[in-house]
Amino acid sequence: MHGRLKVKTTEEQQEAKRKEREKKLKLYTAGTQKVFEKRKKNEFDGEILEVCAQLLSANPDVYTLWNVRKETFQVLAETKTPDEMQELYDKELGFIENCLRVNPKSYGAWYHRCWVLDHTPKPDWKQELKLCTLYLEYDERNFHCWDYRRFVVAKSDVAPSDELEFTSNKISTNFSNYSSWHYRSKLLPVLHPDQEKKGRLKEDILIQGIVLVPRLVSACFKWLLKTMIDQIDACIVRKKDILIQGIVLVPRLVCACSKWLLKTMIDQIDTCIVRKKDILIQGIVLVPHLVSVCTKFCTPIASSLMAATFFICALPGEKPLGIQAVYANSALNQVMVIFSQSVNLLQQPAEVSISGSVMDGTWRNSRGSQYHSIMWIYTVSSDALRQEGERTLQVKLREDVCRSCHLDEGATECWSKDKQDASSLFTAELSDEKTEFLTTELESCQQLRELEPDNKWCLLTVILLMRALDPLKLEAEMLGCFTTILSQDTYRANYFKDLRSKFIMENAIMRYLQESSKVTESQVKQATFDASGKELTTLHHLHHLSSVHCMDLSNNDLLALNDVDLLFCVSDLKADSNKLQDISHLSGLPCLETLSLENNNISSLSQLEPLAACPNLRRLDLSGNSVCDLDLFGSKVRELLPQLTSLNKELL
Amino acid sequence: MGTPIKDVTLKPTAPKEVFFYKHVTYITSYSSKKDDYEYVMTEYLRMSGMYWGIAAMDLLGQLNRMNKQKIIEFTVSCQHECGGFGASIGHDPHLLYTLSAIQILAIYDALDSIDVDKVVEYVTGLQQEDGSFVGDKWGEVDTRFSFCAVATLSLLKRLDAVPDIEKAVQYVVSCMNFDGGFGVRPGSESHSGQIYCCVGFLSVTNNLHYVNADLLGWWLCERQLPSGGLNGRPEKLPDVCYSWWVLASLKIINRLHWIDSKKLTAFILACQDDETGGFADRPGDMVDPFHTLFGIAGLSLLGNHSDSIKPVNPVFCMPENILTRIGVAPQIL
Repeated sequence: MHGRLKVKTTEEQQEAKRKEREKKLKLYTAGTQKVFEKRKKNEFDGEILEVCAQLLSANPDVYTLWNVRKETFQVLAETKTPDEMQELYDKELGFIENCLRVNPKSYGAWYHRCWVLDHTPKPDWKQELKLCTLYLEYDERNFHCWDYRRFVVAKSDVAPSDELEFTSNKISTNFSNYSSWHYRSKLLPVLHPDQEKKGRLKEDILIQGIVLVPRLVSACFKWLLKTMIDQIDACIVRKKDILIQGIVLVPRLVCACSKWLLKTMIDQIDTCIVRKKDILIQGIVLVPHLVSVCTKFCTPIASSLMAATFFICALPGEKPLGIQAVYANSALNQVMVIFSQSVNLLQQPAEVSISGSVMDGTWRNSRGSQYHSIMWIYTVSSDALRQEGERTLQVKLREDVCRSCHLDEGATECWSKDKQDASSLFTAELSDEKTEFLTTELESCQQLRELEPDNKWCLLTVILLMRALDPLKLEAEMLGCFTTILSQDTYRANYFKDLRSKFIMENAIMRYLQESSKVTESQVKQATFDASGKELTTLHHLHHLSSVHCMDLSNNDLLALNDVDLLFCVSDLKADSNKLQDISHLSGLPCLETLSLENNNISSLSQLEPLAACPNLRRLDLSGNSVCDLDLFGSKVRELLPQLTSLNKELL
Repeated sequence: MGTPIKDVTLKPTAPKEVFFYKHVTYITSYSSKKDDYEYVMTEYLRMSGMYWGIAAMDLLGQLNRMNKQKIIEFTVSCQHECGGFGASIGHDPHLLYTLSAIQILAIYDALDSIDVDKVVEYVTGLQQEDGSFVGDKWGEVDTRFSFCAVATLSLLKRLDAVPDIEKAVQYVVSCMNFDGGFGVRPGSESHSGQIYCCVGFLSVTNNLHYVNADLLGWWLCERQLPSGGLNGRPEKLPDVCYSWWVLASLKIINRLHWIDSKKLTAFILACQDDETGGFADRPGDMVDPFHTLFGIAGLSLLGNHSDSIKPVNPVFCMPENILTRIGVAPQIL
């Protein structure tokens, strides 16, 4: 039951209502009995349809009654001519429409309509499309009706371009129509398919999603919006350079529009001043109202802006399944593999062979769970990996998903991995043209930001554009935008902190890779990946750091060390002065020797249990955690972690 | 111009405590008014209605106040020859009510009182060539039914019986949208209720890696309105039931902290009726068992009434201890 207000009624009213309901109830119960009895006796005739109709008119959610109607039609179709059936079905469509008028959200009624259309000898799809248009005028967001529309469109081969036009019209009436924006996200890839990545939208057209944001901001005037939609859609089908021109134009219009709005207000105030006093007073009242409209005119359309921002976020495409890295370590007797997508080697094991012969062993993922993962570890059950001499190791999931690495004579470890290009790891490579377009776009958004400095949607768009353009150079400004967003949207503060952490980590990884490419391998091994003091609330992209030996995550806001199980090679890990409670992801790290967790929120021994599965852990520092105050702390930790040689900087 | 934000304002006098015993009374008395107009008019969803009441009572630790014997007898009597359950006597079998029936019997540890193989046969028989599930023999396809199918089989420990689980998964994944959400069928708009079903489906089948958790989590947390309540889609009013669906989905993808839980708690509490007990969709509206369960379950997930409400499982919307007893542990990111 939705949206039924509880109203206080007098006893008299209550009594009247009770009597009326009693009457209704009697009719309803008797009707239902009648239908069920006739059904039992296989009396599928006009009467059963009539009684069902009365009941459904009052309550279209009684699914069994719709079933009875379908059964009746099936029986009648055995003896009646197609013309007679057509007449019955036509009447049925009229009846369903009446029911939908009572309850336009009745699943049963909408599905029954699909069923009737599927069975009627001569369906009139044009009429159905009109019905959809009509019902979407009553309620532009009715998802039952949108779905029914898609059913009709598919059955009657309506051109996607016509449907796109329909969404344009809906948006012209109300640009907050998220249902329309959603439908466009389905139609555009059909109209402009990407030849290489089947089913995806062409990248250029995807980029035009970026303009949706300022475009919507500006859309306080219907005619302007209409012009813009036409312009952009026209651009899509034209040449790329024209496309870019079209896109750039829009935010400029936005600025013009916003300025126009301000100008109008100022004019209005001026007019008020020269008029009579009472009008002047009105004018004064009007001003703050208009100002608030102006400064907040993004807020009501937030959802549409959100739809737009999603387009930008959705930019990077999914990588095809492949093996990104293989690392073999004969001392550990393990092989670590990183895939481009999550796989489950417990369900479909990959084969590991050395110099052509298969090595027995067992797979586990980095979490030690039964689920899909991008990182899998193979523990070899024989000495095959430890044999002398030059060897080639191969991991093969399928013919097209395999990777080899070469172990030199005397070597105990080897890597084979995709070249990690720092600049293209997290952002798409940009042509000069695209860079120019994004730069202009950013400038326009910055102008909007001047008008509405606190608008979260504008700031978010600015952040995303800056990340696409030059994430490292624009880092400080990005962080500034985040600070403003965090002060504006306290409800979702943790979301924005996590998003900020993701971008900060991306930058840290890019810098690390840039530095690493300039120095020797042994220098890389000794270098510390430093992500300390960066206000991190969560950890991202750690699989890019699976070869890192030393890492510092101190002085952040971490509650858990999520994803650190991906740091396969880490031997020295520092995470002092966070708010750590959950360190379960450390479990199973094979190389971890030194772990510093000073000044965190570890209060019980059970929180330390995951460390029992770190075979090489020697030095552990828990100073400043309340767990240290427990009775017999030292001896209990030694009991739990017999592999330790040092605890809280004291030798054991 | 755009639509102004649709929301409600919580009155300063709005309830701030849980009316524990009033809810217990509301649910127990609801089922005793069998000749009541509301009761008769909702006959077509009786089985789900019973599940809402029973699950709520169990979460409140008051299940012993319900007539176990009668409820089990009624549930069993709604099973049809084909194995599926109808909403009530005389009503046709359907996946929606089959799941509700199995949930009721699971809560009462009474699954041995029905022919489980028949249920499995019914559910598995509803899978289509493309991997989707129809709700009953009349052919309506909906991702809700994909969820009902695997949730039912999972509670019966017969998930292995799905004819083609890979196709079932691919069908649900094909309903994913640009915003990370899911709709009724491929092409349908994202909707919190469907998202709950699809994320729940992927959780039950251990396939949560298909979810773009950051993208979906963002869409979900943007559902929170200034009143603290959550809506089901952009530009819609907040509602206790959507609060549950969004909240449970966030819990499953480990992003519960992305909303303001204090504000949501205040909204849910404000939806209580201080006279009759029970929860409404919004403050001041009529209460019903459906919103009462989702109000209580929401408070349970938010974890700040753990003294009076048992922990709820976000996927099955049943007390965790029931799932532990059966040995069902759906994936949580």
